[in-house]
Amino acid sequence: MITLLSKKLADFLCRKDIIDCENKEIYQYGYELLISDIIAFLLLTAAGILAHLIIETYVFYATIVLIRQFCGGFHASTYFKCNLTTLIIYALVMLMSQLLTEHDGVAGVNIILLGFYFVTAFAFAPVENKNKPLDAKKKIRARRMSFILGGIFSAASMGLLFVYERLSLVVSLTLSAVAMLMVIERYRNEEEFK
Amino acid sequence: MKERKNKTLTAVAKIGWISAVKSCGAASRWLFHQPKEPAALRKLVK
Repeated sequence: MITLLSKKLADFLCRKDIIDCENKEIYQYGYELLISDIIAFLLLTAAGILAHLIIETYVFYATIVLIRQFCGGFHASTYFKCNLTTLIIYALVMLMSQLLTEHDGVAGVNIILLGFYFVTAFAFAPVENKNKPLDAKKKIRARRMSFILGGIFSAASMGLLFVYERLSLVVSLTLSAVAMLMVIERYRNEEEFK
Repeated sequence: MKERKNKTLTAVAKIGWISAVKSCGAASRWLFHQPKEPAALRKLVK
């Protein structure tokens, strides 16, 4: 449906002479990304409101959105599966953060989760998708950015430990989820090339 | 009225263009579905 809607919008703009019809495919692609981002954002906002976890939800969203741009990782084959995956990961992060804050040793858990992200990023980042190949220059930039952003989020997560433990865990759990998704996609890529 | 409509449509077109171009340098678009990136876009951003 998102693809169809984007195609119709690009067709309409082309018919009205607003865009160059030669570039219609690029506009369609842009709208497709934009619409799917808006839907995912609204879905997560609704989930956050229902769970009374608005701040945690937006921190989760900001972390995953910023870091995955550079790390890459698992992608679903359809928009429905994509939104479902987003909601499952969101639910797992929120649930785990709740469970872990009820126990001692949050700082230790945080360090392990962040360490897992860095080890995985060092080994795999950026994980390419067959629909979005990267040239050498972009790969270097994406790899560098996954470390820089990882460092910023890790510092924020460690700092938040003294202010709001759960939020700190949301950041570190999200980073480790991103790492896990890199491992899954890397494994899938290897299977495909076999 | 027509001019306003044209301005709005141009703005809508610009948003779509920016969305496509901005995503070009990234390893992945935000969440978990990646539509096929048009080859024309890759050439253009190079």
